[in-house]
Amino acid sequence: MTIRVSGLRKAFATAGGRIEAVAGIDLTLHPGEFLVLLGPSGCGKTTTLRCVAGLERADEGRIEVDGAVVDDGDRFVPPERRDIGMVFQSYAVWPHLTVAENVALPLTHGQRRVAHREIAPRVAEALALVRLEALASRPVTELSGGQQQRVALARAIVTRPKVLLMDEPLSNLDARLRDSMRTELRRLTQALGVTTLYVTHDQIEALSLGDRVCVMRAGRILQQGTPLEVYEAPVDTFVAAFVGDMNFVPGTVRADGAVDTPLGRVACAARAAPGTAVTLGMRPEHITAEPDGAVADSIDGVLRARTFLGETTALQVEAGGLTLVAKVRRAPTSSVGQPVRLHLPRDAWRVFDRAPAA
Amino acid sequence: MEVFLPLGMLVWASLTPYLIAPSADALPLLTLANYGRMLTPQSARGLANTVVVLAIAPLLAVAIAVAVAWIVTRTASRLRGIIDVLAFAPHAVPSVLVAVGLAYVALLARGAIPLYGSVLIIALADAIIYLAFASRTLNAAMIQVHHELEEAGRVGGLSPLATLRHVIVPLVRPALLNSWFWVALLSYREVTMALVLLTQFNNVIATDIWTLWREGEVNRVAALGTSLVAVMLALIVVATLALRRSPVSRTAAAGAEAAA
Repeated sequence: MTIRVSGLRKAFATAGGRIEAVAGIDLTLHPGEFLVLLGPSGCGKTTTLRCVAGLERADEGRIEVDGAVVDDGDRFVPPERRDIGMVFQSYAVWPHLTVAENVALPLTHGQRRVAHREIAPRVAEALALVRLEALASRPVTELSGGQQQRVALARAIVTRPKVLLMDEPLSNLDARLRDSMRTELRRLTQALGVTTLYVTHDQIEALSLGDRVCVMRAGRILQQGTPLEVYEAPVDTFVAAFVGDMNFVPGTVRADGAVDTPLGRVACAARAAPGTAVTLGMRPEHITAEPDGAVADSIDGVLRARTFLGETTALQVEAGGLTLVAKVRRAPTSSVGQPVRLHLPRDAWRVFDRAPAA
Repeated sequence: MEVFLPLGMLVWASLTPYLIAPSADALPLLTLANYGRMLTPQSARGLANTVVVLAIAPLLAVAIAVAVAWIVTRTASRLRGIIDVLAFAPHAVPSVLVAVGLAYVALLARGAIPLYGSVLIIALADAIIYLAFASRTLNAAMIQVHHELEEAGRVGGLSPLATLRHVIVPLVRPALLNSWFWVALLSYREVTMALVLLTQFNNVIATDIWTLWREGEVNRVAALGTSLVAVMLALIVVATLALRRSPVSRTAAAGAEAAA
């Protein structure tokens, strides 16, 4: 099941005028792929998802599912006629029904209804997949948030849709539950082989769940790629800062490709014309704290704060008028206020051609 | 409490053979004869017609109100503002005028639709006038149903109508029962329009009371009136108990949770 979104645009009229939520999006989901739309609130990721679901009509552009046009301005296939399942942030389980009734309703009264004798086994199968068999006859309102979200998931997959759409399904859950549900979601979608479009503002969810991640901002896709690509090679400072943390250092390219910065000369081989203003970036975990007298690619600074995080220690170090954040496995012996030496490996620098995003 | 003074007098009058002030001396006069004479061919028809009105008017008003509330609160239709005003507009028109206007329309159309002079026209008038009550109640209830509950139905493959029937209507069931009952009580006791629309065979209990009063049958009026009130009070008790048993709290709690 391939989903192809091209030139998608959608604007909303608000009290403050027209707001273009989606400003031209091209997207292809391959069969069985898990694609994550990642971005801050208001970036258009949910609107994109809702257009694919048919809950919104596109202003411009075209959406194809399995080669068939479901929305192109003229044609519009309503959500109930699209072969999809969807999970909402608010769970949206039907409070007047039991767990089993919630899962059964799409089979009894939906477009994809099945023969009566098939309903019970299908409901049982879906509930087993989300491990809720034991609660089938309970009123859904007696369940916890995590259990309600499982009901919503079972309800979304009970029709065996070719496409599963998820809109921030974990963000109403507490942190511990979110972790276990994340693992379970991955297991489930892989077992079903269903093509999944997943919307989140949480970078950890995006990186851990997605086969591919699209980072969005202001209605556009800034970067698409595997989680590793997006994390290791962000195209700009916004993506870099949104997908994980990054230290930004302003600089100017020299004739030999090195960059002059407040931290001194950085030998990072920038591919920009001499004199160009660039921003260098380095992930906190690439920085290490060095014992005194260490070698190249090192700077001296003053330790301003240290936070023990268990596996790592976060350091805030002031150097060259900047504050750098490092996540180190071996913490330096220096205490706050004392000098500290950091190693910034030259291979770990990313060079961006713009100032850091505000 | 204020309602019990006239009501008490009504009960007293229904038990006396003629109008007499309540006193210990009058006690030996008390009789149930007025109740015995209550049922005449005329009042039997009034009773039957009232049942017809109660079967039709609240159902019609609530059905239209569901449609109106759904359009007004759940759709982006451009007509929703107009529809909302139209549903509420009957409040601005004195019911006697609605009845007169409806009578004219029915007279003009009597060749095509035999509505004039039937009990159906009274039911229709009640439905029109009381639609505003039902639609306001249902608007308030429906706006509280989280839109994702409805969208979950649509992406689950339910048509808009199936979503309305299996998701929204069950969730606003308490408001539905409430407004049905409210319109039923209002229609039951409605007399102004029923009198304007009264012809030979479409009398209802409320108009019977009026007719008897005009004929000077004060004590039979009292008996009929007392019975009318007794039935209404019984219905109120039944409805209150029924509504209490419906899953209001469950739905409301879930709605609040979903909205949070």
